[in-house]
Amino acid sequence: MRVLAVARNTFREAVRDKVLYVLLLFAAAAIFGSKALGWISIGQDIKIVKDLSLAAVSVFGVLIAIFVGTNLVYKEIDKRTIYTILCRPMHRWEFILGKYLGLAALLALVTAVMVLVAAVYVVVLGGSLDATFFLAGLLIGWQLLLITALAVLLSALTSPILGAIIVFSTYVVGHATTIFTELPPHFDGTATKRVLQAVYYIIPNFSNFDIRAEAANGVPVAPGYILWAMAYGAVYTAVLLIIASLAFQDKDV
Amino acid sequence: MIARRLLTGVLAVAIGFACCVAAQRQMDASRKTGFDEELLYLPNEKLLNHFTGGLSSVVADLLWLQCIQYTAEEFKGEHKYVWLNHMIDTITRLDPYFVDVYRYGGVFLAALKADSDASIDLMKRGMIHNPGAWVLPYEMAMVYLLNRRENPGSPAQAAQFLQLAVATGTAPQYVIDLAANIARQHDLDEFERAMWEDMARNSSEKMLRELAQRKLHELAIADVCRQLGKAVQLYEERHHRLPDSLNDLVAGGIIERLPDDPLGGRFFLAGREVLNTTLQEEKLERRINRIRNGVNRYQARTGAWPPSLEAAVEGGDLVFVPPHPYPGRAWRYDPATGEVEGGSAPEL
Repeated sequence: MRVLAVARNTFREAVRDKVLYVLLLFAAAAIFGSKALGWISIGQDIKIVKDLSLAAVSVFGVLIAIFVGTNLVYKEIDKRTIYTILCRPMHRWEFILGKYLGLAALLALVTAVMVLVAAVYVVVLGGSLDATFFLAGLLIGWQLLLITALAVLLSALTSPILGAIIVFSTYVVGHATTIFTELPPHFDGTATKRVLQAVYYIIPNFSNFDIRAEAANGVPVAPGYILWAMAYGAVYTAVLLIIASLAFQDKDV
Repeated sequence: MIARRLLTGVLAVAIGFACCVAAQRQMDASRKTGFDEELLYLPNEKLLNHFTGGLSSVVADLLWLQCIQYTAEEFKGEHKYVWLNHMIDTITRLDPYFVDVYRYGGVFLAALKADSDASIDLMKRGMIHNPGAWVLPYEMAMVYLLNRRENPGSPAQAAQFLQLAVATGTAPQYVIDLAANIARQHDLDEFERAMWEDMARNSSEKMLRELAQRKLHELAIADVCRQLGKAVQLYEERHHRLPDSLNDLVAGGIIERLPDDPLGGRFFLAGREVLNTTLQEEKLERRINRIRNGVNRYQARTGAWPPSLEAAVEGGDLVFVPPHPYPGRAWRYDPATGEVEGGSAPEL
């Protein structure tokens, strides 16, 4: 109940954030403007619109998660409003979880709206949609839940700017984790290879959530894969939230 | 007063913007680089893939648009197309499902750069990633027919690729008709036999040698079926009726004994035609896979299994329902699970 109260409040507060609307405006511009690139293709305009729309949903969703998420806890501490919350009979983990759920609900709503707008735009342009397009939207939303958990963790530990830089870097590296496993043969059996393999598993693998190429090209994706990706995202998110709760438990506010 | 201030503001903005445009044009003219200079720095596709931050398919789109412009520029200019292969390779590695790049890239390479080897390699790679795309084997057949016309084996190879296009189950009717026409004009059996004989002799892979041996046996069985068909014709001419079974051919003295199938199958009579269970089972497997591909496409598109196989045809996911290879038998389709069954070889 207390968690939900914090979540509701966080949702309301985030909805009032102007950054959200600026980013949504850019996302809409990217989705509607994608048709212009299609004009110079040779019949691939719908594919390009699908690609750019899903990329816009993903990129602007990530930016919203980073800019709003890294500010969540820090802002409460900075404005001292956290004292009025923590002096109530509430555990600190409840506060962290409530903050996370509030932003997660907002991101779920924003992602759903952006995917729906993109879908309608594709249909209006004469394209057809299949289940993979919406599954790609689902996995983008799932990826944002993981990024939000990372942003909330860093919001409890560092300043918003440093947090944003770390989350963004993790997002970029999280799409390139295979470089840690594709080593030349002379690394076989070395400690370096074992360390890099450990790094491969530690860094969140965001490419697991990327089925946008399949969605744009109408290639079906196995339901089993979607379930595994969602399970991976849910477990990783839970782990980050536990770490965030533990870190915030003893934090001197 | 307000109108004057507004006019001054608008004028200032317009003049400022015009100056910016003029300055930009000056800079563009002085820094103008050709496609060659730009493409010189196009990084390795593996590196690009790692550092696009999950935007590899968008980068592929942008590179494809640049590739179209580059091709048009070369077509109007020097006709060298030096960077075409590298660009297309990069795009298809960034987005391996981008069928149009394999298709048009293959056409550009074969028709404009006259590099039909690269075109065929590209489209073969495309077929591995997109086995359901009929356009790729179709364009490959066109490369053999149009760009390698002087090569003696080309028409037969084109016929093979047209058969592959038809086998995807999504090829339009004109491709099916073209495949049938070309197959009639060229002795595909001879071409196929030569191909399998070469593989059986020269392949370093044991599995491929065994496959080639099996295919050679199948061709031999098909020959036996044709010979037995002629024997049935002879029996009908002599007795003015069809034989009840192949044993009648032996009893009637037309053949000495029934031939053996080295792959364990049996020959049987179906009307005037002689069929063989090994070959029919092979056909059954291929046709059932073709139907399953169509059913799966319908399910991926709509989220539900088609209520009937005809619904998959109406939805455009299956061009037609292929006939069951055993006469008098029909496909069993379960709309609740999407499972298609053809049953096993009949007791003869």
